[in-house]
Amino acid sequence: MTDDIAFWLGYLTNGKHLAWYASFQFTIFAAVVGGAFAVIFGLLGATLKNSRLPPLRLIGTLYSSIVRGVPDVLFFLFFPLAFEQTVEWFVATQICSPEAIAAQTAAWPPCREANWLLGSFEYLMLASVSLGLVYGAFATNVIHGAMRSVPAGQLEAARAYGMSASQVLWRVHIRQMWVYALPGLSNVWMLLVKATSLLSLLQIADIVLWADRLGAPNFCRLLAWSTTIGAGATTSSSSSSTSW
Amino acid sequence: MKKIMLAATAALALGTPAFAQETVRIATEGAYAPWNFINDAGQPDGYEIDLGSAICEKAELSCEFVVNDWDSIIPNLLAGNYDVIMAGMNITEERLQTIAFSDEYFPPDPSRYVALAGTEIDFDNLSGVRIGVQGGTIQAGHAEAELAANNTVVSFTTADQAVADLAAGNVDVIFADGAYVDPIVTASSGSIEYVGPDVLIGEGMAAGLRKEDTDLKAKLDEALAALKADGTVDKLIAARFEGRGPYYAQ
Amino acid sequence: MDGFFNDLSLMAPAVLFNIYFAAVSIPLGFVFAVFLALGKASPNGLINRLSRCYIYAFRGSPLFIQFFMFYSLALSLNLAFWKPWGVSGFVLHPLFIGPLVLVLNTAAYTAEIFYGALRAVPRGAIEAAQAYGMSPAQQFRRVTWPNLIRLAWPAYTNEVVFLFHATAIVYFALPVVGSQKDLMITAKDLVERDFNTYLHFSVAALYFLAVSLVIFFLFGLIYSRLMRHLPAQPRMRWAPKWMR
Repeated sequence: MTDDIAFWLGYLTNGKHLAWYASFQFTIFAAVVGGAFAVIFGLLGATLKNSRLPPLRLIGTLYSSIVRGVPDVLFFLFFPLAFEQTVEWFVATQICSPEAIAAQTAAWPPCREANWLLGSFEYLMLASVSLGLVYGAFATNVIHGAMRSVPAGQLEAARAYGMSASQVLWRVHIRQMWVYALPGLSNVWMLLVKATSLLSLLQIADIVLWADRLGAPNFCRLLAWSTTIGAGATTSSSSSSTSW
Repeated sequence: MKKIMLAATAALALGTPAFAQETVRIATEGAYAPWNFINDAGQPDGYEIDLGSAICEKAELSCEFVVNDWDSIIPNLLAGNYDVIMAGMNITEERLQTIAFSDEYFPPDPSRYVALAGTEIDFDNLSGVRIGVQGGTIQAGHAEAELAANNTVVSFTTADQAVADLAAGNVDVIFADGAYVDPIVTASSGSIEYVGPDVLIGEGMAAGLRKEDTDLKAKLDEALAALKADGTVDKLIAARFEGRGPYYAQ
Repeated sequence: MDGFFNDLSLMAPAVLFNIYFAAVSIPLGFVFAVFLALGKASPNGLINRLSRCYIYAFRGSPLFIQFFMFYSLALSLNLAFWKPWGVSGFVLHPLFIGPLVLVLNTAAYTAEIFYGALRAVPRGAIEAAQAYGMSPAQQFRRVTWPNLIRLAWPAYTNEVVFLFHATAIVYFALPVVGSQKDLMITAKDLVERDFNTYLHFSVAALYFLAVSLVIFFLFGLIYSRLMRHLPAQPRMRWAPKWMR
């Protein structure tokens, strides 16, 4: 009995469980920062897609269709690695001596000096940007559609007042657009919140990773219970299972 | 995948400031008790953490433990995310092709099969058995090479998950380091037991290093030799592994 | 270039796992979704509430977590049920439990699409059917269903592509049996070997894009067949929303 109480109390006192509860902050951080980036990238993408210059339009279209055309988890894993490697490659072209490159035994980076070491926070930040990039592609589409829904008359009126193109964009078009974009953006936000469950794949110690680590040993307890019941014993053996 | 990341990294700033130099980062898995695990305070703990700290103190290095998933622990060493692996890693020919090892700090130990009590398995003629292993271990390598033809090898990302699946009956046996399953068999009070033969496949556990870090290897080996000679290693082993050792007493 | 073709051939068997997951889940999920959508539209309070709860729960939680939960659940019932029934190896196999979760998940999303389409079926068409004296079953088969499926098909196509993308996370949550690895695990293993992020992930992305396009093509064919009665057949929009 006391063992059982101690076991359940462990959910409040055990450092691992406390670390698990604390790890909610990473998930929430990634969702909020990722969401902010998604809106920024969405606005950027939609503006590019609306641009009068064909190359810019092409970039916007490519961004939103390629990122949405592959699974979110693929891009989510790809971006932080690719970004890091691109930076390392660039640094390597600047600082690596031929001897250092020759001495490097690993496949990457080109030389030891070019290695860019990311701490937990930097990596969480990269993951958030990655989330923002993926769902920014969805937001691009939503915002692009919303921008086209703004009545043409309002934009014409703004132009008639003598506003420049950028003034029309910032003062009227983008502000009026939100009304049409919000329902779609709230969908994107839901997707993004659900996608934060993938953080553990980037070895960020988020709620999913802790839940996974803490959950596995419970099966041994389960086994101890089921054998206890199976043997018809009532009290004896569950105490031994608490150590693991 | 690439970067080391548990928030729980213990900074073990050892050595006096006068000798303090660049921090040596030691990677561990944090899920392989009693070698390394995350303790109830949420910090890395275990034999390798004790030993690593002792070595660093001896060698007057400033060390820091980081936690990295097992399946990417060698690639990330090579990529330079940390300098040393201490994660219950056995010396093998295959690993020696990519990384270097220090002197061993845990002797060659037979790998063992464990199963739920009452499981009948014919080990002379092993076939049709579901064998659980942790992916990327020497046991996984052995099972895939020798046993995969007639049996199903199920690989899990952590050893704990393999034990969970054994306890739930999803795999018939698990094949793991003897000293890893010892406490599990003991604590299961008879519901999990050893089956089959012991298989000696590892050449002892040691710290993994990049091949070019010969200076660091020399320092670690020297400190380790001193700790073996004064009995510290045996003491640490005895503290974490019940009934093991002494191995290195002169 | 060699590496590219090498990757193509390495990943060719891997993509079959993703295709298998999708091919099994799509038809089963479709059938289940029809019942769920009808349940959500049902006047019976209990059925209605159950369907709504189901759809809300599965659309509201991350698929990644659903995989973990169903695997743990199946694992904890193993000794009590699957083992005695002799289906243990089958039930806990990723090739079974993967599609199972995908079916449960996609059924919820698809049901929401079908439910929307069901409410959009023209009132007059149903009233006309009633005036003809059709039984409820006849009404559904002859009037409601043909309208519903035509209305829902473009959105359903998106859902199917999304489901195919979702197959990418199956093996991140479930144990790998033998050498059965899907695209993402293959790509990840290759990246961990030589850090050639751009190459390996791009090839995996190409496979996902290619299969997605095939799905669009096939579902477009079905759509034009569904719409064959119209003099000017509407083409399926080639810029899909890819939004769940």
